[in-house]
Amino acid sequence: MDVLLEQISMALDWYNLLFILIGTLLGILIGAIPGLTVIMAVALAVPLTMYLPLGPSLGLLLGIYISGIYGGSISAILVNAPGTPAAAATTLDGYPLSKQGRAGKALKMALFSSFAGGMISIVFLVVIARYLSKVALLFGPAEKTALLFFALTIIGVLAGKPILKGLLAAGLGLFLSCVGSDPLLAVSRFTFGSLELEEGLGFIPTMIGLFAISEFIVQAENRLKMRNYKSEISSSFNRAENRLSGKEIRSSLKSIFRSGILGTFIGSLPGIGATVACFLGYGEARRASKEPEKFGEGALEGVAAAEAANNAVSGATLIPLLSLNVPGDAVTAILYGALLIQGVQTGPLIFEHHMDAVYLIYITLILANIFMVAAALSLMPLFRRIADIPRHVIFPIVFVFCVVGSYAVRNNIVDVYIMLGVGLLGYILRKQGIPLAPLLIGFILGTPFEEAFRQTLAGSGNSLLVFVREPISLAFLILAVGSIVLTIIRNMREKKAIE
Amino acid sequence: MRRSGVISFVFALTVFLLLIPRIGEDQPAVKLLGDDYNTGEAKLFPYLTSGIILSISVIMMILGFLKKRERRRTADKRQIRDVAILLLICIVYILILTPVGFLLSTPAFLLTILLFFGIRKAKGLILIPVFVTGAIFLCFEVLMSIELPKGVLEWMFY
Repeated sequence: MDVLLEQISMALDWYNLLFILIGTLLGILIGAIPGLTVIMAVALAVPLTMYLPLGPSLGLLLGIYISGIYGGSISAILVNAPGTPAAAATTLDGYPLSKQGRAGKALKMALFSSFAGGMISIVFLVVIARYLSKVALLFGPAEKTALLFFALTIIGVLAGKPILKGLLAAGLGLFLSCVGSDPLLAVSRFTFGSLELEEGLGFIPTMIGLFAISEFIVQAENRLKMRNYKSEISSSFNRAENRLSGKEIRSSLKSIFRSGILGTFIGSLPGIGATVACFLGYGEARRASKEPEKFGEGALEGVAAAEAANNAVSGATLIPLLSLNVPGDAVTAILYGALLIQGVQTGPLIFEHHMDAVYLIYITLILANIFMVAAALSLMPLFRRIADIPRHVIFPIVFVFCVVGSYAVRNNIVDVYIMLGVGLLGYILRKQGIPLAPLLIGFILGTPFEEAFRQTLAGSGNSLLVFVREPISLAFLILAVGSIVLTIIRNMREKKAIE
Repeated sequence: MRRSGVISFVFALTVFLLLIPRIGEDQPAVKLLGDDYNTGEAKLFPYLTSGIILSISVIMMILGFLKKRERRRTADKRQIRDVAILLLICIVYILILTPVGFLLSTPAFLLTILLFFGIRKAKGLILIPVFVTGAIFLCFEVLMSIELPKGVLEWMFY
């Protein structure tokens, strides 16, 4: 209890609050600009957190994460271009509302339901994560290896379409984690004599390269299109038309609650993500609605369901990260690295050794949600302008931030070369339709996976049978194989149905 | 599918046959808790990961060859040229960053890239590079005490 009170007072320190505010403002701004992703924003903020204490670091990163997902709905509603993939379903009813001159109403409903969805997922995070971690404490190296194998498989399977591409990305990530000194014997691997590469590719340059640089190159592919990008908004901000009434909120409460639970469930499973949650929440609301025909024509309930679901994912993705040490998506993979930089190791032991950090995460999440509402309400008149910021001005500035962010890690230009090299790799993979999230998660989990795998082999006299003999490890292996088989069957059925 | 399979196959095969065998060849056996450990153990995980990539790429290639070949949308020549020019500008910027310094190379980079993106207004071309460079320098160097490359202007700071 003392630790909790101490962390509450720490979180309410003005310095922490300032960084939560900066994070939420940045998140809304970046989320609202199509093309700038939350992943990219969080990745760019990590180098800054190296010079900050834990509280402000969490404030900045979680603020961007939480409000960035909401920010995506702004451009989805105003310009029919979701700022983040997670807001794709919001366009279905948000943009028609905007065309009817009720953009303000849609934005307020998106904000309210995002807040509600976020708070629902935080409640589940607080209740579930600790109990799950107690189970995880029973894990030895064999179980840990099997769990990481399962996590990588499911992330690869769910992120890739076809699944082989997702698995290939996870494999590439694991391979990239081999660069540098071997974790157990310190033997150099793929360093080509470079001392800078002995420490590995570096988490920050790799993730900045993968997400920000590859996006920069993709956007620059068609510079004419980028230059001519213009908002098509035709909505008005008429006050009477845009007030959100209590009756409208009440009529959407059921959908918000349902989507909040659904989003929390999806977020707690590694690799599925907010985009799927957004569409599922929207679909469920439409299915349960008495007036399903209004969906797609400008139903406020549609906006509420989609937004509650995608924001519920943000808190829930921290459940596997905190309790099992498995990042649920690319943003939590980056948060995992950022927490490591702060000396906080996630996983079951975080509840034994870093309970202060856990409480700080919970409180920061709640504060970030509250700040998101305050910041969004005060910025609402500016939203139209935010969505109109020209991308050909934003991206060069983002590139300079990427360079400085990578350079700042070790004050070494080699990290900038790594960033550009990985960025080019990310661009090539994107052009081939290979997803990047499994690659980053493979890269991050590579070293702990290798350590656990080799420890298991050393303890079992190099016998692989140990993975089948231990019941928990066997269960994870069956789940991994099962997830691949089930996804293949589902994909084949979908294909048949289309034909 | 076929193309990505072939690319990853060639990559994984090169790693498997040429790079992994060289791991630890110039390093002696490691002593750990009094026991000699063969440095060859460090090759296990790279072999495993490149083996996974190799297997997946073989399946991708087979599936790709079995499938009816879809007509690929060929990349627009102008797009390729644009990406090549952009990369060239970025590489030159990164290469001159240390010798020339952040304060000179960044405005030059931003000016070039804004021109490349078609901005012609003098106000934007001057204000954006100067303001962005100044803001980033202030934020990193002054507020957070992170050393940025000084290059030819090093004398000004000491």
